[in-house]
Amino acid sequence: MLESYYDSGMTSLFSRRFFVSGTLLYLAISLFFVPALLLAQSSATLSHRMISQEGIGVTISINPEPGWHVYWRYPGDSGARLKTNWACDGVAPGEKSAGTPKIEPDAWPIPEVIKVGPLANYGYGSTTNLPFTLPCDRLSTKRITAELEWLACKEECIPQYATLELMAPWNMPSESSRAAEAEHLNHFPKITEITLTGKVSPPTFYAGDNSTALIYLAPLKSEGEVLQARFIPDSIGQIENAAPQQEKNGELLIQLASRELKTLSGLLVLSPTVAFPVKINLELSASPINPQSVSLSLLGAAFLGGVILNIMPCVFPVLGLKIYQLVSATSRQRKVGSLLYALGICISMLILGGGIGLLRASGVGIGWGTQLQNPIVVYSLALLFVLLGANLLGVFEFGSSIQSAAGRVKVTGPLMDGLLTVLVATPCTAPFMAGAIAVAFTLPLLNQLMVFLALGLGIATPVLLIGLVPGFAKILPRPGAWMERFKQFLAWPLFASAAWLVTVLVAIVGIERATPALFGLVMLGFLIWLFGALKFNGLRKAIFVLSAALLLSWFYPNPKLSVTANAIVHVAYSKSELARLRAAGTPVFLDVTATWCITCQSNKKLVLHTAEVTNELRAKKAIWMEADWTEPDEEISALLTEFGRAGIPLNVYFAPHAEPFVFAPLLTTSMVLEAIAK
Amino acid sequence: MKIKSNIKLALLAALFLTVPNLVSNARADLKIGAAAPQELMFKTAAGKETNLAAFKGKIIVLEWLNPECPFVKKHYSVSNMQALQKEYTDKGVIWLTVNSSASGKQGSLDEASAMAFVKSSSSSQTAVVLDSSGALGKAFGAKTTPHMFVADGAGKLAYQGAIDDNDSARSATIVGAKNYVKLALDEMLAGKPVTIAQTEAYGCSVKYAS
Repeated sequence: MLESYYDSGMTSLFSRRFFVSGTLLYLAISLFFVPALLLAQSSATLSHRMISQEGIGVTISINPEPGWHVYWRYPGDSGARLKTNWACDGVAPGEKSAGTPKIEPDAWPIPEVIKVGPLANYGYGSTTNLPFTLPCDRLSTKRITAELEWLACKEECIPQYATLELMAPWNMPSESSRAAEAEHLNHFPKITEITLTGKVSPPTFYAGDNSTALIYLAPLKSEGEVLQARFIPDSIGQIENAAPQQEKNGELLIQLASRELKTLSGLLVLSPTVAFPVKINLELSASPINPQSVSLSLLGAAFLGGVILNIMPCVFPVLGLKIYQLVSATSRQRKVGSLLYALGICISMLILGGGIGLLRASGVGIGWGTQLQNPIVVYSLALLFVLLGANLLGVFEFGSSIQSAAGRVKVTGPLMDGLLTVLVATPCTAPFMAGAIAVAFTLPLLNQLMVFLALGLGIATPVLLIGLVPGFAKILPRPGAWMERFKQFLAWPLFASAAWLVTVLVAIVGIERATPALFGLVMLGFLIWLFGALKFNGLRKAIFVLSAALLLSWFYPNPKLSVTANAIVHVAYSKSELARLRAAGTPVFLDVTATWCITCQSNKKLVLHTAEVTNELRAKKAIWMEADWTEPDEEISALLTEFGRAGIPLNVYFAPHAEPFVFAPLLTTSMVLEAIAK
Repeated sequence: MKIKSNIKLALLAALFLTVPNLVSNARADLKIGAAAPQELMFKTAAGKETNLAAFKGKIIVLEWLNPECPFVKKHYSVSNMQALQKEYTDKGVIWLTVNSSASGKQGSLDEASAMAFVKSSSSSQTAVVLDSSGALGKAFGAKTTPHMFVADGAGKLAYQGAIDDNDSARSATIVGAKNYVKLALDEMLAGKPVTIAQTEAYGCSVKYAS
């Protein structure tokens, strides 16, 4: 008779219930002769398939519950493979020959792509039939045993275990089990492997090593309609599993894991029922790969992005000032001025787009936003913004005064303005714009320029409208006293941008290293006020500016971290831990500190974090114990009371088997070294 | 009114200003030999804000953790992971256990639950990193729990992948399996090049927010 045993690695109430009901079920349906195992997440069955010269053919059928999935032979970004352990009459098949060959399924049904957040797996959400051929003697074998381990996942993963058995005689599958299998008909890939070719794009993508490749699907064309082409790799390190793949006109765009790859192997799936095992030979392409040409919607997106860019804090003050200029200009000045401005923008956009495109094509990995990853650039920008804001507020004047009421229009003026607007706008971004530029970088140079041009036109649009369309000009208010106020108002978006830059700086280097930079901004304010008050001229002005710049550079975010960070072991204070360390005879340097305690910070910077003290502590194998009193803490308050102190700083050195040495609040290097050396 | 000069100043001044959504979100996996992200700040369960640069000069092991994943439990339940942590932290290696489960997702830890886990499992890692935003995970390309990364003293990635070569969830398989992390660390501590630098990690997927 057929029996079934199972053990569930994760014993749960479900398994026990199923054990009871399963046993009853088997008694009731003993005619089925199909050994099975039921778990909460999936079930497995073992059945006869056929007999041949090669041996006995069986099928393992794994049936995941709705919502759960099991994995393909390459699970993808996460997961685990199916593991099978076979025995014919208790002996592993093929054991007689040298080495036990690992028995794999004869074939795997076409897997699905299962997305899990930013990751992707390959597996099955429904019944999966895996045919096996066991090299066991079909005449003498009486019993086949399969020990299985597989993984079923939904949101979380539960390992599944099963031991299934089949007994001789090896009948052909019964009607009922054959019908059951037909119901869950799996589609298998074709037998013959096909070789395809593909091109790898040269480095033209974002600073972020994504490598695109284009696969030519032409050899597969004869197989009918392509519903949704997808390349599924059969091992790790070939492609970015979660990246979308795009198919158009018989070419499939995929993201490789590395540009160095020369071949890929896996499945090319054309539809849920048709897939080919493929080997893909890759070669480097000279020109960028683009499955799409410049479309109207792409240009529209770039244009719209440019328009929206006008209200972004970097371009907005410029737009404001431009309007300010137009308001006090004559009608003719407006027309010509705005056209020249737009021309200036377009020319600079072309230069910019072309420049970046050429640089990227030659391998330089620049992209949008790379400059903001450098703390010194961010600090400099913050300074510049505060400087400009102060200028707009009228705190100081810089540069020669220009008469606004001149009759003529200088050609170079608006053109230069346009050029500078572009320089200003480039680092900024707006909705639609980032996406459009991303696509632009995948296109050939000419198409790239078209996108940049569209962007430029978008930026120029508000000014063009005001300059050319009479109706718009009318909505501009008459020049008057409001203009000065408006100019001052424009300072605030700039200050806000400076504040935002400060948050970026803190995010990059952390608050500790950003602190000098914050004080640098305050120093800048002071210097600006000084400049305005002293009213220098000529040479003295130049000297002042230079010395100011030097002074400000002293406040740059500290590129080097303090020495102690890695040299000594740091632990957080706890009464029990301190007692334990002291009992063990370990020297402990206790530092009770808080971020708001200036004396503590200066003690650290000037004395405690110096090389000499650090080396001395390291030599003594001392542990640094930090009690952070930034926020109220009872344990630390008790500690302070114990040492007779009301506030911080408090530094104590616990030499092994000696009295603790309590330091005076203000530390000196010699004081500390002396105490440690004793 | 010094308009022209103001515009020029404004334009010059606003040079290089950037609003952040420019930086590509593409998750590029860290390659062997590439520099580990030194400056990226992260928070530990002890409440400290630090980054990898703080451990300059040391060998750093990063172990991605989800206490509820059966594959993590496989190693923790028989103290395999803890033994490795103790052995190598005693040798001066920095061991960071990173939890990148987004809040609300399986295995997400906060300071209290992280410290409780450390206590209950008697772990000896240098620190538990609370990476619920997934920034550190995505910077390395951590995909599974457990997923192991080892950076050498120069901050370059020397090993990434599975902890050992048996992807079963049964703890019994640990004994006979080849431990890749142990191999790599022993080779690095002896000053030899790492022979197996990259393997396929197994386990549950890291529960990123998106």
